[in-house]
Amino acid sequence: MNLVKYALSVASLTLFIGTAQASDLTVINQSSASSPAGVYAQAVRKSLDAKWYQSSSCEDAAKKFSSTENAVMVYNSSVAFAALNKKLENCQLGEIAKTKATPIAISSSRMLICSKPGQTKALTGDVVSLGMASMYAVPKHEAQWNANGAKVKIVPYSGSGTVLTALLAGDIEWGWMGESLARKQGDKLDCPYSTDPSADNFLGKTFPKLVIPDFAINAVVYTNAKDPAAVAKALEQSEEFQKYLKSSKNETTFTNLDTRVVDAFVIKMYNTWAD
Amino acid sequence: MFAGLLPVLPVFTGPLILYYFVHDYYAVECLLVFWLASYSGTQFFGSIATITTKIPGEESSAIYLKDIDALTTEQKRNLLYDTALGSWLAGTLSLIFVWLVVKYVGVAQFPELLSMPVQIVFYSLAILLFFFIGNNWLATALLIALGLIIGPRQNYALPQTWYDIQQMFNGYTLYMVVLGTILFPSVFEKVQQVKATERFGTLRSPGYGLWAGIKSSIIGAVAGLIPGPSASIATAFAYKTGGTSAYKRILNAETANNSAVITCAIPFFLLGLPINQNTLLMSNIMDVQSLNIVQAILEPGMFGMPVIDLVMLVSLIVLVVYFWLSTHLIDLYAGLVQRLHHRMRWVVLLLLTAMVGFDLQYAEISAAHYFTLLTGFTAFGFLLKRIGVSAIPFLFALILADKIIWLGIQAFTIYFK
Repeated sequence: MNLVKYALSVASLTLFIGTAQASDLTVINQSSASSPAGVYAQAVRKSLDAKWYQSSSCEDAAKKFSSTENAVMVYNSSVAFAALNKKLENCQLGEIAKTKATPIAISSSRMLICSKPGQTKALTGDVVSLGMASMYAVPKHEAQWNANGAKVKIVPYSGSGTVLTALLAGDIEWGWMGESLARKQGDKLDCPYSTDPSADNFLGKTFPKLVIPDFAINAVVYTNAKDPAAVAKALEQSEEFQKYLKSSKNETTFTNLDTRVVDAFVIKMYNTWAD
Repeated sequence: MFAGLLPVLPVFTGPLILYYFVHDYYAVECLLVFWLASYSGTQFFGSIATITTKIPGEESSAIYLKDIDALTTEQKRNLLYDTALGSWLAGTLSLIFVWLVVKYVGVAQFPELLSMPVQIVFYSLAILLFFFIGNNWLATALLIALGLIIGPRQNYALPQTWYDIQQMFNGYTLYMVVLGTILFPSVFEKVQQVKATERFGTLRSPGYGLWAGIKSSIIGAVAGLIPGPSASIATAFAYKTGGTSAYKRILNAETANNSAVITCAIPFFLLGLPINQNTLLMSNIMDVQSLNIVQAILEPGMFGMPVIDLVMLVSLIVLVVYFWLSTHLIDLYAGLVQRLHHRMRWVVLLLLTAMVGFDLQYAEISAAHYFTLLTGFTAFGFLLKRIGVSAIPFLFALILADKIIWLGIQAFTIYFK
């Protein structure tokens, strides 16, 4: 009996050593792990040396946030739209504002529309499959593409990561994915369209009838820590986080945080694409 | 080691202990080393309990129980050494095989391995094999269907009704499902009496048959790729190659199952496809940690080494340690099994209670909701046990539901819409 106890204690202690290094903060990821916001949340976690909670839904994330001290939530505007569409509660910024949550950063990342090099089927007229995250893979969005003369069949995926896998495996001809992920692939992908309005290859120039050609994933980082300014400072001053923001082309602000802009974007998505 | 020696503890005790730590961040290589070491250790030491006390340390050893009576103490002493050597040989060869396959047949070289048609074929085969392994086709089909209905997570492409049904089960944890459907029902199984009181002293072998060891390792390696109880299948195949010699039958069987428990990781590493309890639990741990095993295994880990290289290297060292441990202190192990195995039921029950407490702490539902779900799963587990149906197809479908349903929706959109 003592041997069993001893072995369990040694095993626990060995593994506990790693835990002791983490800070008291817990980063809660509201998004799919393979989405750009999920990757962003991982970057926040690494930069704050925090614990990790992958939620099963935005409602689950909200519960975890309200029951955890020193929690840092990474809110995703796309998940908030999906929640509105699926009638889930406690997933909107307005509802979160009712809790003791303080926003500490707002980030925005754009999407690229890519294919494998040498793709002969054009997005502008050929019958093609276009993979994208399931929340926007809705009939209204497909109809808006096809109203521009495209003949796309939108295929739903869990996030940019799985869109990329399907694209490289040859399941789909085109993929709509986070800019950071797409850029990392180097010459494995050609990305002739961007949702960044300031880019030369802005999607809206080729498809002017798309209602949201300037699509972005907006992440809002907020915390219930006793000293939110300290968490914000730690995040802003983290070299690792700055490096991530630079490589991922995330536009991030730590001051004058106006979450109403994000809310307005969610409502626009809802009015445009909701079932 | 303890899970192998003590019959009440299942082979997947290691992954279950690992659950305790997944709410914190650990490098993927640490998780994989713990996982491989714990369940290969269970298999490695399972033969010691079986040969010394005739109590199967794990289920795959049950096949040769009757052969043990035909052996003298001297033969058992030699067999203990040879099975340790065979287990080490099989484990080492299998680790090298897994390493070669993942390094040179991985998605980096062949991204088509993750293409929809390939995935559909593999997942369909895995599901079909459950029908052949199980003894009740209808129950297997219902279990798989139930798992597929409640398993998907964050899938906004599901029809609203299905999404609503799935939301009704929101809050269950895999820990809860494993506890309820598998562990609680198995704790109350009848425990065998220990009769053996032999002492073995120092072990050595009069001469190990290398070719037979390699042959059994290959049999085990191939059987390891079969979904379901791959170690038991490997044991059964290799057992038959021992002819009329009880000694050779046991040796071959114990060599092969050590190969199988390692090669069963190949579909998991290569395609993200878990095929037995161990890989299913690890697959869920990867989900909790937001890790994609297929990509993570090839990425750089500690010391800049690729994760797969690091995991295999440490696992090879672990096997050497296991070999030393399993050829020494045999009488201590035998004594431990004899003394503890009757009481283990209660120790395990206490451990399971502690597990429930821990799981409840992390589950984002009320205690009443938690215990309602746990009671439901436990009643379901006892029912399955009573009618002699394995809960594994349900667990398989529940964990893989997300992937399978996504594949279905994508295939439908691409090929039929």
